[in-house]
Amino acid sequence: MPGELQDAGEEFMGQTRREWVVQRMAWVVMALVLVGALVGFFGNGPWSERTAVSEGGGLSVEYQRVVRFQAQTHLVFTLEAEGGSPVTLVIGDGYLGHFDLESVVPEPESQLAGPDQMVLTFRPVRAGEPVRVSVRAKVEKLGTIAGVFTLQAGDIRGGVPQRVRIEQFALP
Amino acid sequence: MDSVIRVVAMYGFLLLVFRLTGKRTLGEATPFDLLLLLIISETTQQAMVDDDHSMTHAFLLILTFAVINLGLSIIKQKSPAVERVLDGVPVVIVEHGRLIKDRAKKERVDEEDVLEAARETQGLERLEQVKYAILKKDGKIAIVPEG
Repeated sequence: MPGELQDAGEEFMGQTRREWVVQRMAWVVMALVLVGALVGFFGNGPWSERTAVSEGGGLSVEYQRVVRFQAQTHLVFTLEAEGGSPVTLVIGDGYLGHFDLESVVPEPESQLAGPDQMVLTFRPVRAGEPVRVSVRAKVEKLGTIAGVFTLQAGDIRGGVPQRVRIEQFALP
Repeated sequence: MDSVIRVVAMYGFLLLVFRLTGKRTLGEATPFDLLLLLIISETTQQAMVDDDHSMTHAFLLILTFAVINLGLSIIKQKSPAVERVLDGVPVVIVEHGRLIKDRAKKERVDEEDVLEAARETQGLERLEQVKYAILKKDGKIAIVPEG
């Protein structure tokens, strides 16, 4: 009987030793995941914060490269105005269809919505000053989300269309 | 990033609060203490989850708690001094049937608590039958009966 118990004990110790190895490897992976989270690989961190600027610099958008499903994300647009005239931002490619739009600050002077685009017009506070627009929205799609943003005619600099394309990834 | 920082801050704050309120807060759970714990857990949950209901956020919160706990357990194993600071130390409150009143008062334990523990764990009836009563780190009272 003691022999059987010893055999069983040795067998259990074999499994225990394997578990120890797996556990310690898992600890390293867990620590690395947390470092990744701090850096922003899972959203909300320096690695995830991006800024895309159009050729000519008339339009820029600050966005998060990695977002989370059913969580809020934000975009900040900087629109260069020509003199004191209004600037019009076109959010195209059905981008907003993947979000539940919560707020646009400041409120646009006018807004039009088409099947796959939204057209927002803003007036700068002072002539020559850029307009900064903050958009908050809840993510409603998983996976890759692409968006194209354009400053409309009248704001085109030197014949170059002010257009920015971004790509985000929504984690579950 | 904020998921991890929220948990670290909350873990540190809860550790501090429970350490400063003393052992008996955890050891003796009256119905009101349980209610208090529920309120604390609900408040903690709201502060950490905020409006991010994604699975990624939930996974990161749980993982951060687990890793902090694991990290502290490793540190405590390597350093008894850190363990004493974080977990506290056991306190002898009865010696050879005599309640050490100043210690018991500071730890908010009375003779009735000791007798209750003596009855439940050893079936003892009187304080004279208790050789040692020790208030453990988890707030429970360990009884060593007189030979």
